[in-house]
This record gives sequence, C-alpha cells and structure tokens, in this order.
Amino acid sequence: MTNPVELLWANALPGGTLSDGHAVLRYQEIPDAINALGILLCGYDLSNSQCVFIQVHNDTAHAFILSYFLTLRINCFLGSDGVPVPPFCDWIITARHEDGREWALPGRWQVMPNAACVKSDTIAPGAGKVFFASSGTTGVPKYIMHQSARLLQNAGAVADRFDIGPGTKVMVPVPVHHMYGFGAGFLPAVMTGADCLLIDRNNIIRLLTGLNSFQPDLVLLTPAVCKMMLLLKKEPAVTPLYITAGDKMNKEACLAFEQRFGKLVNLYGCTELGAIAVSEETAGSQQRSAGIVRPLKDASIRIGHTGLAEIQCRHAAGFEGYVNANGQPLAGRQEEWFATRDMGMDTGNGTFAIAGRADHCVNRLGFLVSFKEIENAIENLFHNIHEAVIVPDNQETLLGRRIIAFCHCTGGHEPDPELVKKTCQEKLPRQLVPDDFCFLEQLPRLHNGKPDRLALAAIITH
Amino acid sequence: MGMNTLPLDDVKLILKEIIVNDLDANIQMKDIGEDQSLYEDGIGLDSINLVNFIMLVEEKFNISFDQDQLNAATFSNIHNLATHINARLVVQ
Repeated sequence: MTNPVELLWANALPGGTLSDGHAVLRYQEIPDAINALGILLCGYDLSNSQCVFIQVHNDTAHAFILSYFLTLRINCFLGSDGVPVPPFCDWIITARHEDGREWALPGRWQVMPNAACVKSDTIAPGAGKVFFASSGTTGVPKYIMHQSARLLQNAGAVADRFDIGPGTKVMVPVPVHHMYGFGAGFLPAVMTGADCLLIDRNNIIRLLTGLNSFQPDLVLLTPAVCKMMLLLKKEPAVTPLYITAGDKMNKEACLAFEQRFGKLVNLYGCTELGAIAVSEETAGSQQRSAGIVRPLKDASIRIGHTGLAEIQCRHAAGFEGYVNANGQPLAGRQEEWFATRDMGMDTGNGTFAIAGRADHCVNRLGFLVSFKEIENAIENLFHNIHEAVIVPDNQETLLGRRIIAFCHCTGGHEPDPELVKKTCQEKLPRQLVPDDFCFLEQLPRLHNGKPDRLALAAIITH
Repeated sequence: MGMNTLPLDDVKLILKEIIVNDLDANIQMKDIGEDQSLYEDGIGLDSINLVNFIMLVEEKFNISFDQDQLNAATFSNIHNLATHINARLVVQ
C-alpha cells in the first residue's frame, strides 16, 4: 500500500521549494517533516478529529501544516482573521512562534480543544475534508465542504492549463485561506513540484519585492492590486503571466494593465467549484479585457438563453455541500448543474463572458444592467474614484429602480456629487448613471474584503 | 533652504506630516515612531494608503522611486525611508 505521505509529493524534485521570503521549505524535506510532526502530535489523535481549525497565514509554516492535514486526510477548516471558530471544529491549531523553521518541534504548534465543539453526523474523521467560510451576505454562517481529492483534481486542471510543473515559479500574494489562493496557487504549485513564493498581507512593496527577487512565471493578483499597480506606474523587471480573479476589471483598466505590465488573464471560479474558466493568453488583449473565458477541463457551462442570463456550471471536482456552524448539512447542492448566481453570455466557440452577480443586476430603461458595469464605468471616468459600489434602494424612478453609488476617493479630496452626476450624464449611457452619489472615507467590508452591500443599504435606510 | 539639502530630521517630519495630514489613515503624529514598521505591525498603513503615501512622497520631494527602490528595506520605517530620501536629495 502506498504511503499516503508520499502521494502528494510524488512530483517533488530536489530543487522544488516553498518559501515566504524568510523561511524556505524544500519539498523533498516534507515527507520526513510530516512523519516527525505526526509523532509529536500523536497525543492529540488529530486523525480521529472531526475537524481542525487553523487560522491560515501565507507563510511557509502554515503551508507546511496544511500539507500535513492534506497528506494525512485530517479534516481541516481554513480560517482567517475575524472568522470565528465554528462549533463543528473540535481542535484549534495555532503557530506559536513567528520566526524560525522548526516545523516539527514541540514548541512550534499549539493544539487546543475547542470547548464549544458540537458533534456532527455529517463529518466523519479522517475523511480528507477541507472547509472554507462562505462569502455570503445573509448574516447566517455557512461553510463550504470540499473533499481534498477533488480539490487536488481541480488544482491539477489549473496546473495543466498554466503548464505549471517542476521549475515553474508561482507567486501567491493572495490569501491561501481563500479558494483562489489555495486552489489556483498553492495546491497546483506544491502538487507539481513548482517553486512557490507565498506573500502574507500583500501590499505594493511586498509585491514588488517578491517580483524582483523571486522573478516568477505566474503571479496571482486581484483587481484591487492591479489598480494599485496602475496608479503607481512602476514596471517590475520581470514580465510574468498575471492572473486575476474576483470582481471583473473594466476593459480600459485591463488594457492599460497589459500595456504596462504584461498579459493578464482572468480566472473565473467560486469557492464552491474552485477554478471554472480562464481567459486565453493567445486570444488577444481585446478579448481578454472583454472578460471572455474558456472552461477548464472537468467544467461545463450552461447559460439559459441568448443574451445575458445566469451561468450554471457542472463540475467534476466541485464541493460536496454546505454545512452550518454545527456541521449539519444545508440545502444547496442537490442539482447536477450549480447555479453560480453570476450573469453571463455565450460568446461562441466554447467561450463565455461574465457580466456580474445575478443579484447585482437592475433593469434601467429596459436594459438589464449589472452593478459591476456601472461601477467600472464610474471608476474609469473619474481617476480619483478608487472604488464605486452600486446599491439599490426600494424606490422606483422613471429609469427603473433607484440606485446609489457609494464611492471611495483617493487623495482625500471628495468631488462634488452633483458635478460627478452631471459628468456621468454627459459621458455615459443613460442606463448607467446612478441616481445619487455618496462619498465615504472608507467602504464597509466583509471578511473576504468585498464591499458589504448590506451595510451600505442600511446607510440608505437611515 | 531648498528641498535639495534638507536635514534628515526635516525629511522625517515631512514624511510624518504626509501620513497625518494627507492620508485617510486616521493616524496621529504622536502614534508615529521613527523606527516603527510602516505596516500593520506598526504605524498601520494599509495597501491603499501605502500607494498614496508613495505617490505623495515622490511629489513632495520631487523624486521618483525606481521599481527596485520600492523595497522592504527602504520602506520599512520612517527612519530608513528618510535616510534614503536624504541621500538622494544631497546627490541632487
């Protein structure tokens, strides 16, 4: 019987490393380190635990402990700052020291029982489950349950798509506790033996330092980081392939980014299904900037009718289901086709374009307009509006449902809302012009960094 | 005295004033230690404020940072950043 410790590292070559800029872990060291850590932790019997909670940071130590859980099929929950420990977790593991690389020494990891633990019939010990917090906004905690074998399958599809293998350098400045960093960066790199640099708490200085020192082939970014790079206008010495995921960037920003920094591909996915589709390096910048993507292998797409409609996805490597805080199953995973709640349209030849969230669309002047389209238009029109978030209220106007644009400006100087609206009326199609503008020093955010639209809607109510 | 030959302490003061007056960071002068990290483990500049800070520093001192000068060593704390800027001003 194959030693499970070796399976994940089957492709590891002597030169492959995992680093955070301070501590370096060679892949060939991992199997022995995992065995050593297993001996130290045997008193806790984690292999029979229901689920271990870990607050994940983008560093070598946490990457090692995740590797440990995956290899030994220990159920784990990928937590982050501000995410409470759900009761279905019976153990909490914390990195005790912030420096050094004593991965398997007694002082490195603190393991505590969760006093509020609740037994769940859904979660069997040693089943190789990986849990993520949901990014929903309903206020009711919901957790997304994956099987590690399927996560590795999806990671393999990403690795194939981007030709990640031994000798490839992958830089991951996006959080590994989130599906994007975990499933599209960390896992594809480690399972193929690629060199991987993790950057914790990314900012422009850490990003540029990593680019110049590591000289990656692939870099995972977010639209917010792309916009910061555009603001600063400093071209790094290397031109890797940049990948972005999350909210759609507007066309002009995409084109400007590619002109200055190099190719930028959009990776479409969700926490439930992992990576679903990617835009194409060979397609040309116009097509990439229009948000046109092609499904990865294992993923099929269905868009209801011609024009803008909800995207449904059938994925061989998707999640198992939702659970609540007590580990009890929630509805939402019965159908073969998963309703992504994203709007898109078929663009032919096996490709499709993503328009925005289904619950983030509004009918204005007979047009179905996505909030993202309006937000992108405003951000593109005003260089000092760093971020715009559209929120509807319950009033109807002649144009349709009333919408307010909440904006965050750079430079500390708020423009005149009336003047901004007037400019929008002059420059944009009528259906894209918000009814009102509101400028905030800071936009309220969810744990995952996305704008908290419920909180903004509450501002309107008050 | 022109910007070309500023004493180091003056450079530090200008950097602090940028943080206090020109950023949406809600940071007071008394909260800024010269050897304190600029980031979440110190003064607390988030990623957006950091970008604005870099642009304002370039504007204020009439310098431009090359991409390799935007590194963790130079932008570690007020003292190191001021030392870097001061050296460039003297050269100018």
